[in-house]
This record gives sequence, C-alpha cells and structure tokens, in this order.
Amino acid sequence: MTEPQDEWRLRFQEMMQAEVSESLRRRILEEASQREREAMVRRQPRQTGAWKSWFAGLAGVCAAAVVAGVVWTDRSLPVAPTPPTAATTGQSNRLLQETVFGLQKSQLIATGIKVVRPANAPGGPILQATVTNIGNTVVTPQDVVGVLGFTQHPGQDLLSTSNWIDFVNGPSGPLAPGQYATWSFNPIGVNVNSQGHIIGQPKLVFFSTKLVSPAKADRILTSAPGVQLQNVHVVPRSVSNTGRSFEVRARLVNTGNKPIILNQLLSLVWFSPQAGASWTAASAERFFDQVEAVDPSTTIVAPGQSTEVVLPPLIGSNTPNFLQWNANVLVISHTW
Amino acid sequence: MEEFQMEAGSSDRLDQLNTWVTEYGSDVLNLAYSYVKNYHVAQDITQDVFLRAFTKIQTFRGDSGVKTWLLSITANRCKDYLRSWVVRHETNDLTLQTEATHQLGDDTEQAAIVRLERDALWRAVNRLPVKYREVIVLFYQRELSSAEVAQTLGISEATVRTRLHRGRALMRELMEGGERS
Repeated sequence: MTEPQDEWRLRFQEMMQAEVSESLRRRILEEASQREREAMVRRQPRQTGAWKSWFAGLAGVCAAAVVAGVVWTDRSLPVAPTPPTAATTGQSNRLLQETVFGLQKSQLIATGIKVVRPANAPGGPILQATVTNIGNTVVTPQDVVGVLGFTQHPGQDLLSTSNWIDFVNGPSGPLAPGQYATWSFNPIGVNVNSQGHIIGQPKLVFFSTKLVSPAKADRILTSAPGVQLQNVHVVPRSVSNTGRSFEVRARLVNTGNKPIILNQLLSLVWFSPQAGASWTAASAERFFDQVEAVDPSTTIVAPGQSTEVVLPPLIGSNTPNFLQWNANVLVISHTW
Repeated sequence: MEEFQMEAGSSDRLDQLNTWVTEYGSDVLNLAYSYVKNYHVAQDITQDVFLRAFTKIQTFRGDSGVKTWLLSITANRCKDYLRSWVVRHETNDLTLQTEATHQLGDDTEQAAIVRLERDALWRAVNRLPVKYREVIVLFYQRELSSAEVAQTLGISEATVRTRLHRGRALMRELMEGGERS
C-alpha cells in the first residue's frame, strides 16, 4: 500500500519543472566573469583601462578534431633520459618517465554540453557545447587543449573518475573576451549501455597549452611511479575516410616496490612532426588511453614483475599520416 | 553532503560556478518560481543567487551542503523581493510587464512558461500561503529531508513537520476544490 508521503512524492515527481536555459546560464557566467575582471582591475590599480565588455553573437562552429591526443613536456622540469624503445613507426621515438606537468585551466569555459546525436545513430554520437571566453584576452586554437570525459555524476572529477576520456580541440578560430561559439565533437569509442546510450555525464574542460610550475597548476600530471615501458611498438591498424587507427603494445615493468594496479593507469600518447616537440605543439596528435594487460587475467603487476600491455586502439585524423611522426608515450597515474 | 573543494584561481571559481548552475540551477529556479510565481522574476533571482554565491565562494565553509546553502540564499532573496516596494506598490504594472515580456520571449521559453502556468499542481502550490508553500516545495519537489528544509529556512524540524502536515491538507482541499469546479 502506498503511504500518503509516497503518494505526494509521486505527484510531485510528475510536476512540471522550470529548467535553467542556456541563455540564463550564460548571463550568470558572463556577469560573474565581468565581476572577476573588475575585481582584478581594482586589485591592480596600474591597469586602469576600463574593460569593454562585449558579447559577440555566435562566432562560428568549432568542430573538434575527430580524436585529438596529448603531449606533455615541461622544459622547466627534469625529464628522464630517453630509454630505449623499439617503436615500429616514426623516428627517434621516445618514452618519457618521471615527468611532472603543471596544467592551468584556460579562460574558455564550456556550458550546455549535450548529446545532439545519439550513440546508436549512424556515424556515432555527437556532442555539442557552448564555449565562451570568460577571460580578458583573445584565445586562439593554439592556446588551449580540451579534455572531454564522461563521469558517473555531474560534479565528479573529470580526470580521475571518467569512464572514457580523451583530448579534444578548442574552437577552430580565435575567441575574443566574452565571445562564444558552438563546439561539437564525435567521441568515437565512447562507452554505451545496452540501450545504446552513452554511459555517464559529459564534462569538458579546456587547459592552457602554456604549462606552469606545479605550484601554480590547477592540475598536475605525474608519471606513474615504478612504471617502465619497454619494447614499445606503435601498430597501425586501419585507415578509413574518417580516421587512422592504431594501438600501442609494450612490456610494462614494475621497477618500484609497490604493486601496480593497471586500471589506475592512463597513458599519454602523442605524435609530433619534430623530434622532441612538446605535446602542446599545435601540430601534435594527442591521445589519452588506458593500459590493459594482453592477458586479461592480469590486473596487478607485482614489484619486479612485468607483463605485456596494450593501449587499446585509438583513432586519429586521417591526414597527415601522424603515424610516421615521432611517437611519445608516458604512463601516468590515474589518481591525479 | 556534497563535496566541495575550494579552488583558488579565477577560472576555477567560474568553473565551479558553472558546475553549481548545472547541478543546482533547477533547484534554485523552481524554488524562486514558487515564491514569486513569475518565471522571468524567478530567472532574475536565480541569477542573483548564483552571483551572490560566487562572490561568497571563498567564505563558504561547507558546514552545510552546497544545495541547502544556495536554497537558503534563494529563500532569503525571494522574501526580500516579496517585501520590496516594487511588489507592494507595482503589482499591476509588474503583471503588465510580465505579459509584455512573455510576448517577447522565444518560443521554447514561452512554451515552458505556459506549461508551468497550466500545471495543476503548480497552481495548487501557488495558492498556498508562503510558509506552507516553501516547505512543501523544498520537501516534495526539491526532495530535501526535513532536517535540510529546517536548515534552509532557519526553522525547527518540528515546525517543518507541522507545516508539511498542514500544507498537505491545504493542498488536498485546493486540488479537490479544483477538481469539483
């Protein structure tokens, strides 16, 4: 029998509810951003130029790359000597270890992110969001790298709790302060449930490509301690009209004194046309990937032990053929 | 209680604000609407609430959940508005202005307003005295516990329970009266 309390709860669940519109959200963020700028001016009296707040209309469609990847190199921080690798593609491939990268959030903020084409539709899902420059300087595509992930709940941390995560491009053109644009992305390989719906809540964050010291960073990426990759092979898989797929295979050695839990690792894979180029380079192809044992029964690697691992297939842009470039791999701890 | 991590940078604060709008925007907007019964005024109050929260983001201690904190600001802002000179002296003008604004709103927004205004439950809720309306909306629509309702409104849990009981009875009368008519 239904209790009166439950009956009322059921009634109220069917009640029409007002939703926050995208224009209201933008109004709030723009006003907050304006207040931040004014506060900044007050704190810095020598910068007396009045802010000219202007909000342009739709700046244009920013189509993100089909799949982008990562590249991290902080020249101000020590990077371990390049260990020997045996990559099958590219030249002077390198494997970075014991590396720390400081990331700072950019002045681009993504709002209203939603699925505009379902995962089970031909061509796969498409996500759309409004990207607004809430800062006080122009942001160009080279200034930012986006990270898209799907978390179980909206408020969860993107980087440590996403069930799927990848790098995405920012807007295709420069965005002036206050200007916004529609961003869209086709997350190939995203996790879906039995009904074909994407699992999790999408979250999109843009980081500045200018790396900072860990003390100033919003997020810090560190290489996973005790993890060493040997015999790294980049294996091309297929080329289609929409992309070029590959996977990475390697032997993971636990050189530390604690067990390595594979599902707590993420790999950073990037390809750059110039040897030694940073992952932040505009020309780089960047990827996030999981680290899985070839033998699925292996989930933990004990100290001193090793196992064959594979970074599951990734798809990058079709042209240019980035697989001929310099490949870089870095394994980071998932709990960053 | 929701986890809240204080972050230092301006961009982080804006990102935090955006997250709050996503997670609690509907709570704030619907509570505001229940007080002021006007969609556009409720939107303005929602904006004000989040901006106030934004300016106080560094002082928020996290003693209460973010949701109850935001709803508490909302309730206070709405009560200020209802006490304001504008509402007491310009009710007719406000109504006219609202109608004019409705005509200017886009189709989607206009449709949402019409649906809200036609919802039988909203109509009944809107006829309740404020002291019953606020606890009914917070408890049943926003799904707060009686302790959270008490914290949000600054009243005792016993008072919440009493007002819920009386509010339900009034709602039943209003809805049965509506059905008969």
